[in-house]
Amino acid sequence: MSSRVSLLVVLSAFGCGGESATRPDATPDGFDRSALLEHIGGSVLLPIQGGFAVRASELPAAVDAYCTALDGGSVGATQAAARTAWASATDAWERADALIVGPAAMDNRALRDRIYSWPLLSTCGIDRDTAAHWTNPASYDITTKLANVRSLAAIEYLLFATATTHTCATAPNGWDALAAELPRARCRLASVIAHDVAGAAVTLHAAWRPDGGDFVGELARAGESSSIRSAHEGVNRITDGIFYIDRMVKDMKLGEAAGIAVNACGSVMTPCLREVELQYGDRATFAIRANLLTLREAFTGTTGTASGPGFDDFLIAVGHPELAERMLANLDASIAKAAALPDSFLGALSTDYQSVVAAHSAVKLFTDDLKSQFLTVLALEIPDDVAADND
Amino acid sequence: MFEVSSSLGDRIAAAAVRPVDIASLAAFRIIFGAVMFLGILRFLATGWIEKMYGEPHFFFAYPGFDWVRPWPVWGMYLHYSVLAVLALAIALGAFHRIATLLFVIGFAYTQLIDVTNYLNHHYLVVLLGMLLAWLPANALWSIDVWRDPQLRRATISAWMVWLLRFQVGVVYVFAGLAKAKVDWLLGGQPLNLWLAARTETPIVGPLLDEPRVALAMAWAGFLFDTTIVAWLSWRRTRLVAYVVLIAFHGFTGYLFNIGMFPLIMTSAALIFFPPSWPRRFRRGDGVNLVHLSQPKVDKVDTVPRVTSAKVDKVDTVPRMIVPRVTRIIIAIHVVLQLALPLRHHLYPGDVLWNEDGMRFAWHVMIREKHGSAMFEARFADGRRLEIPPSNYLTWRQEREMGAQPDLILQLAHHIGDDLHAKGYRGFTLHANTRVSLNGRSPEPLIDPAVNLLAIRDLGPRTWVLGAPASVVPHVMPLR
Repeated sequence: MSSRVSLLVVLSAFGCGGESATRPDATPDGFDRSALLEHIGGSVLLPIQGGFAVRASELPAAVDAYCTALDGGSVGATQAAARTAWASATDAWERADALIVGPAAMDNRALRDRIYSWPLLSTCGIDRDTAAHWTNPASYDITTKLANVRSLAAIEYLLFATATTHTCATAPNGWDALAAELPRARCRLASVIAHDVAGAAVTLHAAWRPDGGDFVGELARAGESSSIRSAHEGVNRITDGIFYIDRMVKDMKLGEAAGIAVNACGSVMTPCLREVELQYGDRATFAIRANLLTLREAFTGTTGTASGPGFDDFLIAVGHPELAERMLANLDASIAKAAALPDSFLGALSTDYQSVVAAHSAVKLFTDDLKSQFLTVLALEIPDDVAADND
Repeated sequence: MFEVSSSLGDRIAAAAVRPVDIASLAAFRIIFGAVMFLGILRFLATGWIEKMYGEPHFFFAYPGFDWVRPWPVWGMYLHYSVLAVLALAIALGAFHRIATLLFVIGFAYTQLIDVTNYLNHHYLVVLLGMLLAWLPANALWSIDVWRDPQLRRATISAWMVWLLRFQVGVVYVFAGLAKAKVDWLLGGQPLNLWLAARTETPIVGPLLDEPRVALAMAWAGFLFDTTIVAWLSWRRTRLVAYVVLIAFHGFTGYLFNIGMFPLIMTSAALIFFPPSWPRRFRRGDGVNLVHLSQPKVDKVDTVPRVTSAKVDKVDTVPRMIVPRVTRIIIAIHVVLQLALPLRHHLYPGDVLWNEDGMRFAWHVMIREKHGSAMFEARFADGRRLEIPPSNYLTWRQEREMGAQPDLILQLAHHIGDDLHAKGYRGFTLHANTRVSLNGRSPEPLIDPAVNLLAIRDLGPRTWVLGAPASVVPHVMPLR
């Protein structure tokens, strides 16, 4: 080794460069970043994208069936089926949303917001579109709509909202004329958006698939024939996605909704229902569980069907097994606390508030390490950091 | 003894006013302006203006400068464009004093907007710019001379070159002394952390996660910084030292994201060459690197022996007098430049942890810190409310704030004001922090029991907890 060190000193003194013929990280029996990227991309995230694409593809038909039933005057089980299809699609998306990287993160997360825009949601805007689309469908062009009036979040409102009053300061044009037709109008708009979401899901899945945009390959080949300049940068992109757990899960889904963190209601340690995710379908608990499950799969590299290198292995490999163990224990504790939440998050806030507080505290223990020692020992950058100079 | 001292003082004073070729000062101006021009263009091209001045809603202020606010984004683009023009004017020597002064003010303004934008080499730019604005750097090879030949001069007092050498030397020496720490010299940290992330570097990459390599490079960096000024100052070693300097800055610039720093330092270090060095490039004989390191004309007290000096105004007075005001200004500047980097020794605790005396001290790339900070309002009735810093900061700002106590305190006061404005009353504000220094397990940085709203950042920072006592860990090779 000393000769290699000498070589380094000599080379470093002259600032030598050049292209390496072999993948520097590739070691036959050791940990390497490229293997981590290949596994997380191909075995963890791609199946999640595929799962969402399947669920999203089922949504339009279910919504259309509901709309047809409404037109026929007999809803039957179609409303519940549509809602179930939406819940399945949303749960599947929450798995993906927990670790946004690659195609869904590009263009300021345009594709992500097209699929699911939360916390961007304008119920007033949706009310306006409901009336406008009902009176003149040809005038409605979803491609021109802002993210806050489309996506799974808008579909949720359209399928679950029961109030017949609008949520705008003044009645949208044509709203009063809707009257008894409101459910049909809402369903028609939900159908258009559901088709758009399904299309976006196909686009996203194709962007990941090896026979499509091959983002899986982009990750695996980072530093070689890839738009990602190095495996380290690839790892950094994955961890950018992992930070979802800090701002979205801890601070927003749990903290703000429960009044643990400052919120739009101005409440202190009392719930703020306006901040609750998926409040119309009351799926917030499922969303949190789905988020944490994806994070665990990425952190450990272990899914229900595959096992490979994860971030815990990375930490162990660089000599920090204690950190890997602590973070995994805290993540598992968070998952346990989320599992202990009542399925109804709104119910939890009103009848089992401490369970929400406990879940928040557990997640915070994980994010404290994530934002400090994890970044430090892996020499990673915070998300969305400008590649600004340092010194 | 007094006579000896007096004699030494006289000799130094005499040497200080000895006329030397102005060429190196003029070259310094040209290169400085050109480097700044490139740097500003680079800044304009990266999108950093939106990130640094457009996206944030809150800006961390330097004491006494909380009135400094950014222009709108288009205004910042215009501002940087004007800076680029001014940098070009500096390089060309057009309206030198006013252009350089405006550049310094304009550049300092961009730095004063937000503490999280602080970079040591930006501070150096301000200092060098101030000195250049003051010195007659436009008296040769400039548009000013072309416009008014009366401005042309062939020599300047030696102290002017000394002053620039001092300024550049201060950076190296104090950057070196700052490395004289256990983490750096015995632990090879944070180099080990950074190098381990650079294993994809061609050829040497596979070695970079080896702790011994980090340690070797830590010592190399320490020895380089602390001694390079001496090697550059000694005629016999100057050329080799400069080649090493280029290699050092080239290599660190390649490995780390340190922007214009390598270019600034490699060009600024040219000031250690004899004052007539640029004339070698103007004789049309090609560059003789050996001659480059040898002083010739600076030993001459009167007119430099150079062909291009034929048209220059000859300083007929061999010994120039340094006005008293000038001497006082220089003395103040020198004392400040020596005191600021040392001030942290007056403060209790580890500067890498509490950051007390960290800035303006050439503590360049010597620590890796990431932290998690959550603010908590505690009400008299026992209720508590978390305030995530992300409500106020961009990711980049949050990263900087999370590990720097004065920024945590500043944001705490802003949050306090904001909560008051939103109608909250009767609360104290606390910070729950966990900070990892050079790879250690995260520990609290701020005393969570302290109400930060009752703290002003004056006097000892008793509200900052002590540095972790644990030994700095290594990152192990991935083999």
